[in-house]
Amino acid sequence: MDEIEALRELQRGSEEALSWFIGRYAAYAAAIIRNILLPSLSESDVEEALADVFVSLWRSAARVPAENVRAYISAIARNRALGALRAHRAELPLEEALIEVPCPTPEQALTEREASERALAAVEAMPEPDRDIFLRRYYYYQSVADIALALGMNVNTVKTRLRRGRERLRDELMKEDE
Amino acid sequence: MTYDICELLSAYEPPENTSGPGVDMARLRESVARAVAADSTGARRRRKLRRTLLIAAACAAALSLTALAAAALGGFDWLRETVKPGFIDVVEPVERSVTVEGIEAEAIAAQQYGDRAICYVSLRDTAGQGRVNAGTSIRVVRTSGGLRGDSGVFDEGSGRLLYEFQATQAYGESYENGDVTLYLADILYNEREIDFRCGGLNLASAARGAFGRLADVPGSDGAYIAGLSLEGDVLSVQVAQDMSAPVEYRFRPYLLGPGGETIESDSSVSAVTPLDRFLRPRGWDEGGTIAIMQYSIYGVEPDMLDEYTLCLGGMSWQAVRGDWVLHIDFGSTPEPIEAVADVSSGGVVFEDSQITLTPLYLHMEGYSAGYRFDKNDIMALPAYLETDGGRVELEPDSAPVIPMDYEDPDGNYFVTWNAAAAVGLDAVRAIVIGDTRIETA
Repeated sequence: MDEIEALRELQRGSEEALSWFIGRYAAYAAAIIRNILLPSLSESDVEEALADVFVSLWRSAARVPAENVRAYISAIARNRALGALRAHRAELPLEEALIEVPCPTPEQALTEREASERALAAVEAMPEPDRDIFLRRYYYYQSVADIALALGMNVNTVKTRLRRGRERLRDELMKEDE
Repeated sequence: MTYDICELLSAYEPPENTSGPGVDMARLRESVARAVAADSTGARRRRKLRRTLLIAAACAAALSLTALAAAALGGFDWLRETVKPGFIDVVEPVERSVTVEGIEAEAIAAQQYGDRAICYVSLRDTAGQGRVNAGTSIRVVRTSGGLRGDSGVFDEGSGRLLYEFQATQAYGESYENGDVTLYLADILYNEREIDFRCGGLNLASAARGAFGRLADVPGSDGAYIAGLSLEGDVLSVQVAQDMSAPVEYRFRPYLLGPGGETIESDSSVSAVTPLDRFLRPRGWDEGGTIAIMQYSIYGVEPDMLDEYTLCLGGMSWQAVRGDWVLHIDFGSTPEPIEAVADVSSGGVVFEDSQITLTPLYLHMEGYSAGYRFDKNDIMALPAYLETDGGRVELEPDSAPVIPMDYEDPDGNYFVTWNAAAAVGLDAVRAIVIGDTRIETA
């Protein structure tokens, strides 16, 4: 069974197709969830969130985009993990994740899709380790202390690089259309 | 225009990585199959909710409790004679406590080794209201650095709920001759299932977007609907709760149709749900006492919204709101075992690695010196100790540090393995990492 066929069968309510997707994407989704939940929560929480991902896939099969199932699953995994993390009330929400971008007129405001595309482009253009730090913080919601420990940096260095990343992102969002 | 960076990155697609811990596929399939079967029988899936603290896979020793009448014992004597945790031989009495709203938090014993501090902390209800029991948890536990801990073990004889915490400083910093401060916030107990019905709420207003204190959640204490928005067939709901109220909620919204059918909520699948500019950013309200959570309900019929009732299932806990701050000072500690060695494993050589062994952990650190090794080489490194009492296995820590900037030849690596119980340094004869044996005696 290939992925397109599996998705079609999943949308028809095939549990065999669901099993196919579990086999295909369990490790991928687990990696995303672990990056978010550990070490704050437990492996048991990871397992619970991971199961929720595929239950959610089952329930929302009709909405899964055939052109990019992996993206859909990564989004579910991240949000399931985030739900568990929020319930734990760690340091969420990330107050410094809100950035203000001046906008001359409402008509010139970026659409959500445009803003998202520019943000992803800005992140792709970041040099390492800034890119890694930025994704660890704002995609995986890792604490500054955990990032510093993982990368062998001190906390202030991580904070400085995050601030640099936010400034780059703001610059990218402020660019006028060419 | 305000943007939430975390939302902007929601369309990021991480690359697939074949390394890392495996998944228990059998257990995963069983969990999913159970939920799918429950769906098909119409039963709502009940989530197993556990109140746990920060957990690391390789942390605390098992705590064994007996039924001794320990109430008369002081904290440290109780810990040593009743509980006997794995690290009791390497901690010193602290016995410093703080009591808020009749709940006492006591730092019973602690010790620091290098960048790690181990602390035994107990909770006890001095007001005799039974608020501290096996189902009690602490909403937030923090320190300035990293923190890992168990979920607490309750001793009925003493009425104490005991935690073992290990606090970790940032790389390069040490607790030696210093101190650590633990911040505990809000004690939760008496977990219950909830099911509130927001019958008076006009869901049709979601079509044009609405936010504010739209409707109180009937029967709740300080919870209200803070935002509604509709995008296609996706209803977004924001629920606020007053974090100063004596009740804590974990909501799971769903819609109840006129025929009794339900539409469950899903965590926001942002890849297919656009950012909704009508809703306020998720998070804390000004003042910091109101928490706002956002949920998405899929598959709603826009023309039928006024026929649905918004319901809030989930769990609640009674809460003792307060802050317990425990400050622990350290004196001097026994010297660790230190060595410098070339560590090899499977053909990979880590030159001039600095090895440090304490009763709590084993460290290995060094420079990459221009040599680029794979992350898997570090993560797969096994380590154990040869001691007078036999072989002592060590568990790899969850976050090895590896050089990430391949343009920088001076990248550091920093690996830790944790001990399940106190390591008697005098009894250690050799440290074995990968294929390398380092004699210590």
